[in-house]
Amino acid sequence: MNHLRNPSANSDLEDRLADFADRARAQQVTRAEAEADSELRSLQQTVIRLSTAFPPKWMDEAQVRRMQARIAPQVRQAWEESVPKWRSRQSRQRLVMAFAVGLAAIGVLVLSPLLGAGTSGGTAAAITPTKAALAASAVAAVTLAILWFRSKH
Amino acid sequence: MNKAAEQAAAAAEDSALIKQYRDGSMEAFNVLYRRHLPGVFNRVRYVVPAEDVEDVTQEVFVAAARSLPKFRGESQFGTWLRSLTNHKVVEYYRRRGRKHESQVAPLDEETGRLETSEPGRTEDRVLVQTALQALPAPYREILLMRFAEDLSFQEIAKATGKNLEAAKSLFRRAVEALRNQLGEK
Repeated sequence: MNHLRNPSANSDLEDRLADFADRARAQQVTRAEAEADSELRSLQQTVIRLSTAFPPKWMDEAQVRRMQARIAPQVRQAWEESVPKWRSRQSRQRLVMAFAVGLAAIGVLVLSPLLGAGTSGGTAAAITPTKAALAASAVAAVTLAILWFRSKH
Repeated sequence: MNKAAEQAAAAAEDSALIKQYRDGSMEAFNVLYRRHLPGVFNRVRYVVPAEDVEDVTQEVFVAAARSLPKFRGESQFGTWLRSLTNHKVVEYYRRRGRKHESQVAPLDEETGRLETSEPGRTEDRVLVQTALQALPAPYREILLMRFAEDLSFQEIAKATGKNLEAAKSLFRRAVEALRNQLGEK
């Protein structure tokens, strides 16, 4: 019958019904209000019926613990089945280490001719500041790569 | 801290917990579980027979555990979990089959409405449950948000992307539809 009401009456009814639902949910009302108009009263009765059929129920701690204990193995299994192997913490740490070792190896390969040329002369002084800077840069690059990788995952 | 700020903080905490769970922290999932269990449990309680509420609730969380590694965070975890719950409830009724459903809540052959002759509370719960299930999804959704999840109309408006007046209007239409399903008018 709401289509017969003007918009402001509808809005008023909706506000009052919403307010009534709030009070019914809080168990502050248990029956439709006598002074309400027939349409509102009828809707209030439905709200009461809904809230009476399902009074608020709080789960007790024992029930939560029991359910949690029951679900734990299933959650573990679900995680193992769904997470790609490389995403697991251990696998990722191994991957990071392998990545770092690989980068270091590349750095050594790139730098060894330069360093080797210096040491082949038989003097430690042959390691020039430029070569030392290159080696330091390689170490820094590896460190930054590891940090970047960790921050991304 | 106001309620909106609390919700934002809770959503941020959820995101952090999901990330930890992806990294293999079962404890993070436990925290998520305890935080969202009451909402899911209550939502299921409104639409599934009492004896199966726990099982369906657990199924929701096992499905969440399986899907979370792929969760992109495009919606809030609570919203995502709500959809997952609805999906599991549909699945539950599909499993039970129509035969069992008709045993739970017989329809009046003439009117197609639920038979509601002086039901006791348990019987009435079943009738209301079946009527809720028969409602169009947006109507059922707003009733569950208000009554099962105890969201305020302000929170419902935010969750559904409506303004407050539109949320209240939808609620009124949902109550009307429920009243009609229950054959009250």
